[in-house]
Amino acid sequence: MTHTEAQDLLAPYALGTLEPSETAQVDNHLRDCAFCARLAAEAVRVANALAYSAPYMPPPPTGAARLLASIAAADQVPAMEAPPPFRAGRRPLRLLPPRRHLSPRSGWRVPVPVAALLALALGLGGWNVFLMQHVGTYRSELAQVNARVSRQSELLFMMTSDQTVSHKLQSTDFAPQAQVRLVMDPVNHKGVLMATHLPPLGQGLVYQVWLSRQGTPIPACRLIMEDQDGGDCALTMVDDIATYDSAWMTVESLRGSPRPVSTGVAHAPL
Amino acid sequence: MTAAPGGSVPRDEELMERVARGDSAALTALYQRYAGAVYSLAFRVVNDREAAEELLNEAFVRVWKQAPLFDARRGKFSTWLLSVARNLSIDELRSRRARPRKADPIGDEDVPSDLVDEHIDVEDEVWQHERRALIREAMEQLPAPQREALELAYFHGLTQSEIAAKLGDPLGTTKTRMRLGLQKLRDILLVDGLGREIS
Repeated sequence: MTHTEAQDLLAPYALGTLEPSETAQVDNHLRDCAFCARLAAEAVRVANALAYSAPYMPPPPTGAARLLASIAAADQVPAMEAPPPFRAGRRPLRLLPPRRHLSPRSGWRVPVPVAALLALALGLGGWNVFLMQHVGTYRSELAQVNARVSRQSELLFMMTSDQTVSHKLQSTDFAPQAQVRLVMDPVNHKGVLMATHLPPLGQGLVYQVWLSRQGTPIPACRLIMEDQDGGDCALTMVDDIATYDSAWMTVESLRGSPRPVSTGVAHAPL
Repeated sequence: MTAAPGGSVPRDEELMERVARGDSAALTALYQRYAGAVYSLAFRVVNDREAAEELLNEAFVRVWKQAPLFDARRGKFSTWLLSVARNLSIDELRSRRARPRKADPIGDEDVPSDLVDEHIDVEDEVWQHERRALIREAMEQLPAPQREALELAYFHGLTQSEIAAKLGDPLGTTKTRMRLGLQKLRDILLVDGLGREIS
């Protein structure tokens, strides 16, 4: 195949519409021709840009959880081979050899086949415990990932809804670099507060979010730290969001408090 | 996304290295970044929500399984992923052609095209939205016969001969339209600042 012939086929090659025999011919040429290979790579990238001309469809909210379940199934440890079934009429395996060398000096001398079976049983027991621990750890991690995906899906839903209202909270001197944003969905009476660049807190302290109505603070949620310096929390509001006049984030004791008693981190009028 | 805006967002290639080491959180991050694009592509090809969900899942299972083989020097992750998703979708479409097609009540006009991809990085969301709009505009700038030929090839998996037969054109004309269409699309994308899509 000449360069001209190959280059004439690059568009359908990139679009994947050549017959298999033609594709093989082009592939052969590209292996030996760096110039045409470069043109082909560019054509493939242009063809792939067509993917973004498809009308946007939001992916299913449970997709990430389903994917994790799929890869867990794909990675499953192959089942251990079952022992051969006992055959009726077959002479039972003789486990104990004749007691020919049982010596009082040596105490208990366990016959080799029994020792091997005991070792095998112990090994299988240990392997089973290891597997159970492994599965337990994995389930715990999966539950955490699912919870996070669920929160993010909710956040995404709110961020893409026409109804949502977003407020940037002004940081205070306590955390001047803090970026805090409150997204509220007035239709479903829900909200999410996201914060980054927060200073680390001492033990027993948490970032607490408050909504204020006519000067009265109402505890809204506690920040769940996703990273070292940031996190988010979901708010559920029992009343119309128009009845709240401001939002605060403060540092409070883990034990909780009916009203803010410590440092303000960020604030915004609503 | 291949760059790390502000250095805070891991690049696709970094995430793929972690996926290759068995890090499912990195896979989830890639999923959040590209699920919208993959699902939209799959739905555009098969026009069936249930099948598109299957294809979306299968595409990312392949990412998981084939991550150790992925070589970033040979191309961008997004190009590879979309190729995988497109090939799976076209295979599914071809296998469906032999049996009755399951109609999906959703038409293009019902699609919420203003939504952004499932990703919480706002900068990335804005870029995804902008990219989608620019590429759609670029497609609209192509002469209709060239656009139609490209769409029949890419989204319907038709060969050049099938496209020629469907449009009632000579095969040579179809070949020229596809070649010119792809070249013109490249030129428009470069002018529109989408050079990083194709470079």
